[in-house]
Amino acid sequence: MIKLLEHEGKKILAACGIAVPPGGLYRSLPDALDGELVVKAQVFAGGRGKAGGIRFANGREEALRLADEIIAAPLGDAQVEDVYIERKLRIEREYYLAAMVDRDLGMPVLLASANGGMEIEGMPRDSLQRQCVDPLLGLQSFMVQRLVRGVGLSGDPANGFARLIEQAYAGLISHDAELIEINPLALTADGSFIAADAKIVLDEDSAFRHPGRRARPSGTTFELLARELEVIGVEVGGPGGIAAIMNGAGLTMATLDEIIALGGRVSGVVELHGATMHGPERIADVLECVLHQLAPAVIVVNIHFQFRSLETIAEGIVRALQRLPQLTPDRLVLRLRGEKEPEALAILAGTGLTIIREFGAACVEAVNRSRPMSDALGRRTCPSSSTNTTVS
Amino acid sequence: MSIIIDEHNRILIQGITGPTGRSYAQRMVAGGTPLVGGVAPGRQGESVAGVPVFDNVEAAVAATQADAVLSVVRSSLAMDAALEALTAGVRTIVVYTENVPLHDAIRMRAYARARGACLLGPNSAGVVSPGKASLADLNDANLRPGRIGIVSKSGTLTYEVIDDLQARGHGESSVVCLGGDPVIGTTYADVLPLFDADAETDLVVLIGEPGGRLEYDAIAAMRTMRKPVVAYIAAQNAPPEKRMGHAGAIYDRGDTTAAAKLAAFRAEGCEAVGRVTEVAAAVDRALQHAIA
Repeated sequence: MIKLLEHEGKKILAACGIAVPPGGLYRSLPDALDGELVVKAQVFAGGRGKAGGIRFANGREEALRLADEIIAAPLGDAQVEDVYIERKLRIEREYYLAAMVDRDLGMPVLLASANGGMEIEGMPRDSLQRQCVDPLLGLQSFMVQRLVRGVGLSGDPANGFARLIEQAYAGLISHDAELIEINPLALTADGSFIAADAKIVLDEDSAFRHPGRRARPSGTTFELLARELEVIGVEVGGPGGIAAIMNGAGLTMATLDEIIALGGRVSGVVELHGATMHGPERIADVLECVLHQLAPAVIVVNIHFQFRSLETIAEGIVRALQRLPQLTPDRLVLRLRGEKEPEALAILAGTGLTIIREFGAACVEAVNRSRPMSDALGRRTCPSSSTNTTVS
Repeated sequence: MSIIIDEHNRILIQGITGPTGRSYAQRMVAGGTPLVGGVAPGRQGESVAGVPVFDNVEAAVAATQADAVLSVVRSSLAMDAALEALTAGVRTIVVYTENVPLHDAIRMRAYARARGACLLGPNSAGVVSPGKASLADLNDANLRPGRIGIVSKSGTLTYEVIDDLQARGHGESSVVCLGGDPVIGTTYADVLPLFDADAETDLVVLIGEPGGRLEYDAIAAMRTMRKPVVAYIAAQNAPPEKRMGHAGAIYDRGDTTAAAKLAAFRAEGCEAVGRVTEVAAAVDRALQHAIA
C-alpha cells in the first residue's frame, strides 16, 4: 500500500487523461502561475481543509507567503510534506468519483456522487452510486451509464462524466492502484470537469511492473530499522514493557493479545517474516535492534515452526547473548516449538535461559518478569511446569 | 469424507523444481499425499521426489489426470500460473505465493469462480485433510485425523489451534487456510457449508481477524448450518492502521475491528473468543452443548 500525496496523484490523473488545474510545488512554482491561487498542504492524512491546510491567495507573492506559513508547522497530527499551489477553479458544483478495489467482493468498484467536497463517510448513503466491475468483463457501457444517470447528469456534462469514469477505471487497472479518488471533482462554469483533489493508493506488490515504484517507508525509528532488517516491527507502547518476537502475522497478533489480556504492557512486536532465511546473525541483529530501540524490560521470543529449523533461532539467540551484555538471561523468555526442537535446546544449553513450550505459559512468564522492575532485575525461578526447561 | 482435498485427488506442484517446490514435493510424497507430478517450463522429462516434471499444466493433466494444484511460483508469475491451471481444468488450486499483485489476485479469483473451481489464496498456507492428503504448509507430524474442521486466514494461528486441540484429544477433518491477502479466492462463507455437509466434521473453528467483512458474511452463512461454529477473532489489540505482516490484517472502516466481529459472533449465540489460548476450551464447551 503506497499512499501518494495530492501532487503525485495529480500526475497520475493527468497521465490518465483527466484534467487537473495548472499548478506546482511552492519551491518550483511555474512562472506562468499567478492570479487567484489555492495553497495546499501536502499531507497523508485526510480532513486537511478543516485543519487549515487549504488557503486562498491573490497572486504569487501571497501564495508563497502562505506556503511558508503552512510548511512551518504540522497540520494537526500530520507532518506537512510539501506545499502545492494551483490555480483556483470556478466551481459550479462539486462531484465525487472513485475507482477502488472492494476487498470483500474481490473486484473493482466505482463510486460516484453529486455531493462531492465532503469526506465520503459523511455523504448521504443514498447519494452515493456504486457499481461493481466484474474483472472478466471489464468496464461496460451500461455500468458507466448507470452511474452517470445515478448522479443526475445529462447533456455535455454527462458525456464528460462518462469519459472520466472510463479514465479512472483504466487508471486503476493500468497503474495497479488500490484507490483513485477524486474529491471534489469540480464541474466548472463552462461545463467541463476538472480534478480539484487526488487521493491515490498504489499496490506495492506490483512494483515489478512499474519501474521506480517503491514503498515510502514510514514509522518510528524502530519500525524503519526493522524494515531494513526485512522484518516487520510495530512499536506499541513506551520502553520498559515487553517486546515480543514472533514468526507469522497471526502468531504476532495473538501474542500481543495474550500479553495484554494478562495485564502486561507491550513495548513493541516483531514479525520475523523471512528473516530466518538470512541465518542466525540476522536473528541476533533483530534482538539487538529490539533491545536498543524499544528498551524493553523483557523480550519474549515466541516461535512455532512447522518446517523451518528452530536451530537458526537458537543460534541467533546465542550470538545475541555474546554480543549484547545487557541482554541478561532474566530478560529473555523463549517459547520454541516445532521443527528441530531438541537440537535447538541443545544449542541453548548452558545459557541459563528459560524455555517454555506452551504459548500461554510463556506469555505469563514474560508478564511476571516485566513487573515490577525490582523483580525483573533479579533472577527468578521459572514456573514449575513440566514443559519448562531451564538450560543452565 | 473431509472437504476440498482427500486421498482421491491427483495433485501437481507448479514450480516444483524450485527450492520451495522440491521441499513440498518431498514432504507430500513422504506423507502419502497423492502427488502425481509437477510443472516447470523447460524442465519436462526431469523428476522431483520421484514424480515427473512437465512443461505446462495441460501436458501434466493429460498425462496424469491431475485435478488439484499447489502453486509456489514467484509472485510475478502467480496469476499466469493460476489461470493456466484453471484453463487446464484443475478444480482445486492453492496459491501459496505471497506478495501477489492485488489486481492479479482479483483476476485469478474471478476466473476461478467463473469456472466453479476452488482457489485458496494467494498467500494461503493451504489445505490438508489429515491422513488423506496435504497441500499445506503444515507438518503432518502435528496433525491427526479427527472431527474438527478449521477455516482460517492465518497459517501460524492455525498451528497454535491445532496443537491446543490435540492436547485435548481432538484431531481435524480438514484444515483450510484461505490466505492472508485482502483479496482471496475462497471465503469463510464458501467453506462453512462444505463442513456442514461433511459427515466427518462435528464442529468448525473459524479463525478471523480485523479488516474486511468476510467474518460477517460467515455469520450469515452460519445461520443455515446445523453444526456449531467456534469463532476466534485475533488481533483484538492491533494498533490501528498498522500492518501486522499481511495487508489483510489492517484496520479499516468502522465495525470491522476485531472487537466488533467478536461481539457479532457472540450475538449469534456461538462460542467466540479473542485469545488463542481460549479456543480449545471453547471447542469443548460447544461440543458438550451440542450433545446436551
